[in-house]
Formats: sequence, C-alpha cells, structure tokens
Amino acid sequence: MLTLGSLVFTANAQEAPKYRRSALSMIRIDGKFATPNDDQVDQAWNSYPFPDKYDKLPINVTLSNPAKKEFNGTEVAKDLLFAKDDSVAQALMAQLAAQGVGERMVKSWYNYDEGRKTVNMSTIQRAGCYDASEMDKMIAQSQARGTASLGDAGIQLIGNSYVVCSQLTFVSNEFAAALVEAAALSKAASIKMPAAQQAAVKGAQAAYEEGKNGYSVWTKTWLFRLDWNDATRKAFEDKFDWNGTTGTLKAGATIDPAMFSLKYVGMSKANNLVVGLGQDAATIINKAVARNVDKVYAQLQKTYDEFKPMTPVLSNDPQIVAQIGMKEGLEGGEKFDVLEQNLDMQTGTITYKKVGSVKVDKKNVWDNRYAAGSEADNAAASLKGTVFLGKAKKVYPGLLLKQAK
Amino acid sequence: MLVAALTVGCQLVEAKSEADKQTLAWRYEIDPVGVGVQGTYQIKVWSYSKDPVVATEQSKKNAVHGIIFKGFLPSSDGRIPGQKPLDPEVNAEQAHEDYFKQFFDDGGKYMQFVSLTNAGAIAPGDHLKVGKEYKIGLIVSVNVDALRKQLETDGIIKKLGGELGNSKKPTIMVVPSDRWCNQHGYMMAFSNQGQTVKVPDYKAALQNDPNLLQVISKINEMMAERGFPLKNLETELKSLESEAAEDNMTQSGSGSEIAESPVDALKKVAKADIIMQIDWTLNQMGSDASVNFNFQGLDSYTDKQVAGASGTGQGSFSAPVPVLLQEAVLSYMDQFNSQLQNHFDDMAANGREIKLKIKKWDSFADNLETEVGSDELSTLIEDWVRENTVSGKFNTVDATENMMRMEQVMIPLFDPKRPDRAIDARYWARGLQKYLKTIKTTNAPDGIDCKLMMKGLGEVQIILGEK
Repeated sequence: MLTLGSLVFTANAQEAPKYRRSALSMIRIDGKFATPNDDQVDQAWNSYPFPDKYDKLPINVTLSNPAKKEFNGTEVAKDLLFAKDDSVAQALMAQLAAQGVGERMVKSWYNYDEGRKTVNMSTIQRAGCYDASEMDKMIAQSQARGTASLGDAGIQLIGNSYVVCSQLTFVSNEFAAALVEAAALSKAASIKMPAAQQAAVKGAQAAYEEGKNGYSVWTKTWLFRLDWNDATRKAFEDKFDWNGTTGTLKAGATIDPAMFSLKYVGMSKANNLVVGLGQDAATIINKAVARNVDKVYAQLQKTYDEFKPMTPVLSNDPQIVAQIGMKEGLEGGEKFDVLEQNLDMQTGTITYKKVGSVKVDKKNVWDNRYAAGSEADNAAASLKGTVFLGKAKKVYPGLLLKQAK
Repeated sequence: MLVAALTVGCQLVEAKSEADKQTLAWRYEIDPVGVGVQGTYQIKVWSYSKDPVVATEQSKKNAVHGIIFKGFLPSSDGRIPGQKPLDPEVNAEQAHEDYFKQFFDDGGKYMQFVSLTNAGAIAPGDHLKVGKEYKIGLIVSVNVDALRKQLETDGIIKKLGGELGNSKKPTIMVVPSDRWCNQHGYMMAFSNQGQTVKVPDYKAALQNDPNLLQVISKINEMMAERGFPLKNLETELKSLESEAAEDNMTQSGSGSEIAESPVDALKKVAKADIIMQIDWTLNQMGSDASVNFNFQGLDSYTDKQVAGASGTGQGSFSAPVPVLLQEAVLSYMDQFNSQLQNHFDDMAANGREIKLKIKKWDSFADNLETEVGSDELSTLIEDWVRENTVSGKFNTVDATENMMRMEQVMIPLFDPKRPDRAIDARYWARGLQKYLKTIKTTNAPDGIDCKLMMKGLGEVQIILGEK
C-alpha cells in the first residue's frame, strides 16, 4: 500500500504502482432518521449522476439502520455525535453478507443470467478496455495479441469493487444543539467560581439559541471492498463449462454466496452542511443530497489511496502534461503531489519522496472518456493529456503525479 | 540572451558527452514485455545515468545492443520466452569494432531498427532514483527481422543455413505431429507387411482443421522471411497422389520387404531436409484459454530431433484461438531457428547423417564374406564408405554373411570432385553402386550388380546380385 511522504511499501523493483479504476455500488442506508421527506431524499439520491471516475456496479439491496434506533430526533442526534462506528460497520457487514452482496457483485461483473445460468466476460472486457491508459493502448498495439490484452486486464478490476454504504440523516439542528447545550451546562455545573459558572451557562445557552435553527444533513459512509483473488476467481469460474467467453453453470453445480466476502475498509463522515428548509423543500433536499453525495465521493478520494489517481508525467516542455483526465474524475483545480521513486538496490524497497506540487489547469482538462481505440469528437479530445500548472523544469517526464488529499 | 543560449548549448553538449560515456559502458538490463508483432521484440530496457534525460536517450541504443549481443531471459512467469542474441559469437563486438562504432554512432544505423512505445513516455514505476543515479525503464519495439537482415547483408552474422551454400539450402516442411493428428482423429490405417499400423492422415487434417492451415501459413511466412521457403505440405500431398502408382510399384516390386508408409512416401516426394512437427493443445482454465505449443525439427534423413522449442502462452479470454496460435508461433520460432542453425553448423562441419543397409538377393551366389583378393567383400565396402564419408565417420552396427547395417554414416554435403554439386543419400550411394560394379568375383565376372533403394531420404538399401 502506498502512502505519501514517507516509506511506503516493500516491493519488487519491477512491480509498478498502477492506478486502476474502481467500481462502486452505492447503497443508501434506509434509516428514516428524522428525515423530513424521505421519499424526496430517496429520489434525489437515486437521480444523482454517477461520476465518470468510477464504474457503476448495480446491485439491488436494502440496508436498514443497523443501530435500530427509533424515529426520534434526540436518539439520532446522539447516535450521530457519539455512536461507536466500528460496531455499526460490523452490523452492516452482517447485513451485506446476509444479502449475498459479494456474490451479487461478482455476478454483476460476469453478467450472470439467472434464467439461463450463464455468464460472459463482456462487462469485464469492456471495463478493461476503458481502464486502459494511453500507454497500455500503445503497448498493446505493438503486440501480437493486439488490444485483446486490454480486455483481459479487466479481470484485475474486479478486486477494485467497493460497496459504499451511506447514511444520510436530516436532523433538526435543535436536537443537536440541545445535546451540545446539555453537555456544556453539565461542564458549567462543575465550575466552582459562580461568575465563571454563570458565564459558561450563558455561553451554552447562547450557542443553543444560535444553533437550534434549521436542519443539518449528516452523512456517514462505510466502505467495504470485495475480497477477490485468483483462488476466488478459480472457484467461481470452475463452476461453469466454458465455450469461448461464455460459461454455462455445470449440471448440479451451485454457487455458494459464502465463497465471496467483503472486507471493511473504513468509515468517513461529511456532516457540516446546514440548510434551512424553506417552502421549496424538494429543491433544497435535492441540493442538500447532491452536496452530500459529492462530499461522499470527495471523502473516498481523500481518505483512501486506491481512489487517488496516479500517473507519470508525460512531458514538461513547454507545459507539464500527464495522460489522465475526465475519465479519472479531473475537473480542474485538483492538486497533485509530484513524487520521485527511490529504489534501495540492497533491500529492493521503494520509497516515495515528494519533490513538488502541481495543479490541474482548469482550461486544459483532457477528455479521455471513450472506449479504447475509439475517436472522441469534441474539441478537448485534441489534447494529448491534461495540463498541470507548476514549475515545469523540476517536474520532468517519468516522475509520478498523485492526487493530493 | 546570448549567455542563456550559450548555457543551454553547453548543457546539451554535456548531456551528449555524458550519454556517449554511459553508452560505451553498456550498462542496461532487458525484460520482455510482450510478444511483439511479427518480426519485432517488445522489450523494456533499463538504462542508468546520473541524468534521467541521458538515461532516456541511451535506451534505444541499449535496446539494439542488447538484441544483438546479449539477448534476454524469459519473463518471470515464463509466459514470454527469452531470446538468444543475434550474434552469439564471443567477442563479436570487438571483432567488428569499427563497424559497431559507426553503427551505434549518433544517427547511426541502429536508429532504423528501434522505436519507442508511446513516444517514449515512461510507465508508472519505471523512473527510479538509485543512489545518486537514475534507472529509467522504457518500452521499445526492436525490428529484429530487419536488424538481422542488415547484419547478414553487412557480413556481421551468418544467414540461417548460409554456410551450407545457396545451392543446397536445406528445405523444411511443416506437418502436424503424430500426437496432434491422433488427438484430433486424423489418422489412417496402413498395412505394413501384413500388420496394420496407424499413420497420420495429413490430407484430412488440412481439409478439416482451419487452424492448422493458418499455423503452417504463418510459419511459412516467417521462414520465407529468413530465406527459407518451405515445402508446402498441401502441395506435396498432391504430388504424392500423382505418384501413387509408382509408389505402389516400389512397395510390391523386387525387394518387397521395403515397405514404405504414406508418410515415408511423402517425405521422399517432398525431399524436405527437415520435417518440422508442430503440436498444440488448447487449455481452458476457467474463462482463460491458453495454448501450449511444441515445435520439433526432425532431420528427415535420420528422424532425429535437431531443433525444438515449446512453451505455454499467457492465458486470455479476449484473444481468439488463431491469435493465440499466431502468438505462440511468433514466440518460439526464433528459438527454434537458433537451434536449427546449430544443426546446420554441425552439418557443415561433420556432414549429413544417413543409414546404409547392404543385403543380397537369394539369387546372388556370393555373399558379404566372399573373398575378393585379400579381403572380404564386406571389408571392401567398409573401406569405400570410410573413404567417402566426412572424416571417415560411420558405425557398422551389424554384419553377417548376408547383410550389413551401418548407422551414423556421415556423408558430405557436396561432391568432393564437383564442389558446386550438392549431394543427397541416393547420389552418394550411387557411388557405392558404381564401385561394386568394379568388383569382380568368380560368380560375378562382370562386376557386382545391385539394386539401390531408398526408404525416405536417409535410409539406403543396396541389394547385391541384380538390378
């Protein structure tokens, strides 16, 4: 695993770090958490455009509030502020396992047809081709196998499948403010000096008055990764008789959902959006949901290395150019660290040293959102890569750019 | 402005001088990346320098240098085969110092044979700082066919089979292996002296297996590129059919014990010096298909294996089987040819191996122990063979009064009296036939007549007594 700024991983010197696309299944936890208009939230959640940066992995499951809280604003607020999230993660994991989410994800990759009991490799091939970098395509073109190798690489993307479980909670600020006030008052009660105690009580009450208006949208996101390796692949594919790229379930064979498991990766929060619900509640809810989902994606990228695009510098004359773009989620303005790889020949250890920073030029983001080999038909396609702003002389070809937190 | 221009100019000169210095040291490593399109190797070349720009510049020279003098090992998973250097001679570079100095000079010939993949972009992980210097990996394609041709034309390396001379360049015919034919149901029954044996039915295989034709065609194309047009199996089978009547006569005429299978008959008609047997198995491991490929080069004269290459390609669920087969051919042909070259070198030095059998008709009143002058007839024959083989090499494995069997009879490739004339086993054996005619015995006062018969290309039978 690669981390910034210090020693990173011990690896074979020939083993190159490579950013690959991830596939996400987004699930909203159905909690009815003090939400003013849950149906509207659902609608906003479901209509939110899926980001280009990820592949969508459709699985149809419902997750319920793992804490089994009643619809009670105070309880929800307490949960949001103080609940221990690891226990929630375990409860969610149990729900995901019970609904065979790992199996559903794998079947989704393999286009499993429940009626015919068949699978095929088309989704995996397509994802592999789309994930291919410009360099991958050029290398493939000068090989006897041609671009078929790009499709084959899709199998490696299955291990980059994630379930993102998000709990969106609309809660009246009054509940949270009251809890904060209660905590502050309790602290004030322990102050012995009357004047100081009075000031603390006043302060707590003032904070309550100021904070009690409107609603906040709190989002917690739990991330799980499909546990996928060669052995799992073999166990699954061996259940089928293969004819070319199509497999038919062997007579008498069954697929045990327990073959596929998920690993808990971590939890992140986005909880500081405050909205005052006016008359046009739908618009405000849509906006609030959109902002929070944005935050979920941003948090994923900030928190987890596997979602941070990384690519070598292609050229630095006259501008810094690298071959990533909209396909990797760039919009302009993102910051990237410039990393130099250092190899210790004796131990084979590679360390990464930050040697600079660059920023994506908003006017020159490369639109590479097309299938391998196809031609784009817009002006941005004439770019050979995205332009980065920074000190070009120090950022020479081959150095790695990795999206900063 | 002038100062700035001078500074940049000086830096460039320094970089070039540094590159030259580093290039002379030839410090680099080569890893295979993939099986390149026909005639090319796709490799990653790791170059070292204190300046990353210099290391990048060196890469192309290093790649070509490596292909000529070092070759490379197989990939760590063994799926991409290694390749031997084009010039395997020790100290080859020193032997042609002036040539290679010019060849690798800036703008030298080397540039014609190498191209950078993706315009020289460096892949993630291929730009490494090692101590105070840089190790840069660049993926390049080396046009090894064109490079080989250039070196052959310039007289630096030998042409495949070149030492055997153009007049008798060995010929090759590609056939599917017996195992492959059997596995795919392309066998036919053949009666050999009353015993039924199964032999490959090449005609049925060609007519029914589309992959076979493609594979043979690809090998044909690649061998033609090396100056070795192949004997086409399909054409030879047609020739064989037209000569069927004659073959039947051979099987049933005097000396009828020489039974010749259809395969032997084909070999005789095609007269290919090397039979290249190909064999592949398609492995299905889950969704992945891979091809296990095997080449065997058999000397038609002896049926001994003289070259071979085999391996299993990388699995794929995207590449169709013909592409996997083509990839296998491209992967292993150079290895195969390299071994073939060793065989040709050996032939040039030690001659061609055949077998010789001497027998007698019942009507022949003498035998091999008949005294002729002070020696037995068998001794005279051995003496002739000794005098007419390369370094007198042959091995009498069996000798009785009625028969002699000699193996590892090393016949010259060219007639010593007419060096421009390439000779084969039949031509060589005619010399023996003529010699026998000069030997007079009481029972054969006009010399010993004998019948010369061939089995395949490399087995001669001489039957004493009559023609």
